Amino acid sequence: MYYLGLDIGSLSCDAVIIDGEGTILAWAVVPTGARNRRSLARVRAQALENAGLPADSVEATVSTGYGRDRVDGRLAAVTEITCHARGIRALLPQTRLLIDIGGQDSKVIRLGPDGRVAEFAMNDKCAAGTGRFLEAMSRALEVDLETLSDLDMGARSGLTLSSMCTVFAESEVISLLAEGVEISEIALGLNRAVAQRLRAMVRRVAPDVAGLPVSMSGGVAYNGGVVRALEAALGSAISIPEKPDIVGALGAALIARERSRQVR
Amino acid sequence: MPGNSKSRRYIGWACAYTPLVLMDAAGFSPCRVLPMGNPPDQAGRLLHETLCPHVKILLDRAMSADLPPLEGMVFTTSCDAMRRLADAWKPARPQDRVFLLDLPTDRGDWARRYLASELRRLADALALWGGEQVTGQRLRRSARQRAELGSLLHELARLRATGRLHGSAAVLQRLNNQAATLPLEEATDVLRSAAAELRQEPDGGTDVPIYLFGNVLPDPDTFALIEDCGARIVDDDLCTGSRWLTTTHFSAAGDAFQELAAALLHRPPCARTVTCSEPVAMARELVRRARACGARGVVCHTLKFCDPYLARLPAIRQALRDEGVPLLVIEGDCSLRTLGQQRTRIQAFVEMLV
Repeated sequence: MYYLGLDIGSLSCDAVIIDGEGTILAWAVVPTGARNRRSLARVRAQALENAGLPADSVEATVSTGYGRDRVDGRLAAVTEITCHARGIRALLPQTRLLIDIGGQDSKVIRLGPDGRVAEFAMNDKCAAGTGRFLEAMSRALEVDLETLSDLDMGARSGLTLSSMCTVFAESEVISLLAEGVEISEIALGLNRAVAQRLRAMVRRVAPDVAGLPVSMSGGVAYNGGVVRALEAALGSAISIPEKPDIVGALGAALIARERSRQVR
Repeated sequence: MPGNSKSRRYIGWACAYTPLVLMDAAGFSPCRVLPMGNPPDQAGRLLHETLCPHVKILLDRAMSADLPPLEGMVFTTSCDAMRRLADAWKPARPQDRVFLLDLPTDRGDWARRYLASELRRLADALALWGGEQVTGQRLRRSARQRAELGSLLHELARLRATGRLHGSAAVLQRLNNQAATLPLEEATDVLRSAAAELRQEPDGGTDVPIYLFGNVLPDPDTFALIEDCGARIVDDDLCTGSRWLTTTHFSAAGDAFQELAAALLHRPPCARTVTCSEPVAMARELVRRARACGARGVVCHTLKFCDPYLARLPAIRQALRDEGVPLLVIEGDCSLRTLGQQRTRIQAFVEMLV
């Protein structure tokens, strides 16, 4: 028996295939692009190919992400909040606070001792502090996302950005570059701005972070600069799974396995 | 919206503290102007943009002539935004008579006496607008009719909460809207028919029971959306829901204006009414009602820029957290559009409660 989890995000479509024991057999990540149905078909096919499985070997599929309702043949559509919580529970079971920064939204999820969602906060109205924000900033700084990740290294103090709006922050970064401000200082300022925004969300669900094991999921977890700034802002170390971008899809696959058994 | 009956004389109203029985007793048909329709695109000419969306949509409706023929409009000083709406109404619809009822924020004796004098002032104004002289007898008759309307709404809400009303919470909200806008007798007939025709055997639904709390949420489609996420709204505290109708009991010999004032001040309060000696009373009452209806969680829907509600939220959040009742806060602008954006939050909240 094999189970498929599909996370249809704004920037990427992620797929994870697990077996009946919950072990990950294969995963795939493709850019979402403008046509998410096509990307969905591609990521599903790629995951099956990576697992060496025919399409009809999948017992059940659960979808998540903003495109979750567009997946045909699904057993269920489950929100990314529940799926990320379920996925991180499998990868880093000690987690009590999960920060997920995706392409167009960021979430802070407090988990109970049983791994269930106890409370969450979500930024879903603006792209400030999300993957899109960092994409725009890397464009303004004329570096790729990988380079942006370590661009803050060597910065002395960082500076404070006056705007977190993606559009205005991009203009501000361009102005700072024109003034000759060191690029590392700007990068540190950006990372701190993202971290401060996340810290405010963390406080809404967990007024006291001390002693809470914190983990991070979503593509932005690959950005070392943001992670370092977050650790400094929270005063807490952050654990990151090996593949943080497939945590939602893994959670969806695990939920497919659980619900499929309930149905049977 | 009411029909085109020429014999009806409508007076518009906008706040649940409006003394409807007084308007009935003066021979008018109170018609609530609900914030329904397109997002406001004209109100910004008279009021600033970062203002309560309820008020802006009402003003837009006024500026777009999207209203039934009104003899006048009765506002209350329930919040600053509502005062500003009363000001802006005059240039928006110069032909309308406008009355602004000054509403105390506490419930003491002084407040009751003051509000009674304000109610007398309104009765005089309604007489000048061509209404009947308000008498104790007319008030008592109107109160009885309003009480029947309230009982029917209460019964329909009870049927809905227990799965014995055919249709979703959207049906109940549509009935609430009709009851608030149609002439009293017509509204009573609609509710009577609904109570008889929509009754069904319990549906045995397994949706997650939630308590909906907040201010203005009249669009039936928003209720459908919330329930589409797997929730069942088992009770509410909304000024367009269970809270819009004040039940008044007049004694045979008492001062009817004093009694009406007391009834208005002691109706289920919204965030603008403060009991100074009990600043967290609202939060406590919210916990009590959520528990009483068996809700597993509370969804608080408040309008953007609604300072009275936003000011109460920290105490409410704390009270619910202390009691272990999960809370989801969503901000909206009276439209389905913003609620649609919040769909993931609502659905995740329901998944959390399963």
